[in-house]
Amino acid sequence: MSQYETGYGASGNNGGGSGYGSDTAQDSRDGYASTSGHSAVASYSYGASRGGAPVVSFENVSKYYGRLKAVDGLTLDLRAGETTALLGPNGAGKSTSLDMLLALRKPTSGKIQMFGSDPYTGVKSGRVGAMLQSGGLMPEVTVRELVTLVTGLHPRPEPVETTLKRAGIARFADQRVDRLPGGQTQRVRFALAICGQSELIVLDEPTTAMDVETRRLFWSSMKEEVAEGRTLGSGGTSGT
Amino acid sequence: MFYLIFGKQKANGYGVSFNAFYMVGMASFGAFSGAFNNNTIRISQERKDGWIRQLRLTPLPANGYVVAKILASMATTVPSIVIVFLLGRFYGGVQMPIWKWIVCALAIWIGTLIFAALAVALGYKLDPDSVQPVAIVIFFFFSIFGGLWFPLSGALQKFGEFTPTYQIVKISTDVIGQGSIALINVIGVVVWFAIFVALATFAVRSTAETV
Repeated sequence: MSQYETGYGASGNNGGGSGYGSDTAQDSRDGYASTSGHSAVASYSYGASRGGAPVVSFENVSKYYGRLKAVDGLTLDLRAGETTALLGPNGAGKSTSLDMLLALRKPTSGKIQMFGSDPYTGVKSGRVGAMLQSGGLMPEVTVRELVTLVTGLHPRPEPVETTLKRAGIARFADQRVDRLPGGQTQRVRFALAICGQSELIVLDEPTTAMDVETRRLFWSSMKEEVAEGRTLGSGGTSGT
Repeated sequence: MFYLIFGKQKANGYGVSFNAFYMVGMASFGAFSGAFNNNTIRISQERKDGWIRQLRLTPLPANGYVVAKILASMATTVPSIVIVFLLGRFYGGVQMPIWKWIVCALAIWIGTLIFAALAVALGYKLDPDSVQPVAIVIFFFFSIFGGLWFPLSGALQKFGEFTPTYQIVKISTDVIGQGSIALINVIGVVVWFAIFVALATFAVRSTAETV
């Protein structure tokens, strides 16, 4: 049984679990946001919701950079245990929306809630793990040192060796972060996102620059995270 | 190194022997430049690499990064102060009761704090390519006009009196020469610290939106 809930603007197509494998969609809902130009961000949520209050909610959120409208009236919910994908072409406002969710930027209008309060509180309480699209790594330290450092900042960390194995970088653990072969730095970012065993994991274009094998490892790790009850939000330009 | 080359002269600086003055100046120079130049470059690079952004997404409190950087530079400047003091004592023949050595070291150490704060301000505001020349120019200015390399006199002193470097050097030389510190210099240090901390706070807050 599907329920439709449309946000501001015309209703979108209910795709339900597009492109993420064989999960069947229960309770999929759409949010639709129009942005500058004619591009659009659509969100697709699927997975077994654990019910309860939404983990994340955007209420009519808009972001303007001067006169440029980057996000216009975005409304969506992430419920506990669900996986939500924020999809849209480049320039649609996905990264801005994720930035606002992670308290890196403030919305021009509208309200964003995470775990029932503001995003900044949510992030600082250690309940969120975030994977940046690029950058975000400290140079001149080894992978193990970096993961250990970030792990130590979280209240309920996962053992470092477990994180390294899950991210598939155990064999690079003693190499310097800035000397890793190309595809491996994404795995390090991924490690930093899961090291805190967070309730909510947010991913910004996670599979950019990943080869097929890394991408498969990535999504199977994500499935593990969801199986452990985590809520996932990710932004990207395509389903995989 | 400078100390070894120029240190053994006969003139007087601020009422203490030149050796003592020079020792204080060089210790300050080493400590401040270490804290300042290294940190500006490193902070600027880490901001560009997105590392600060990643840290913002962890439970690390908002000022955790800055505090950690300042504490780290306080730790790394201790050896350079100690080494120059040792040179002053055993090579330059500077002699004074132990409490004076300690107070001077503390004064210079606090001066490091001031420059670490300024380093944060510059590191947040400038990108890695431009931060280095700017840092060098600023530090050169404070070194010359603050009298780190030679004692100021006359018109130069009237102008240089206001620099933070001058305050620290004056405090140290006063301790050595007279065994006391002038209140005005302490106020000077506090004021400069407040100014640089305000600059740093402003720099950090104003880059929050775009980091």
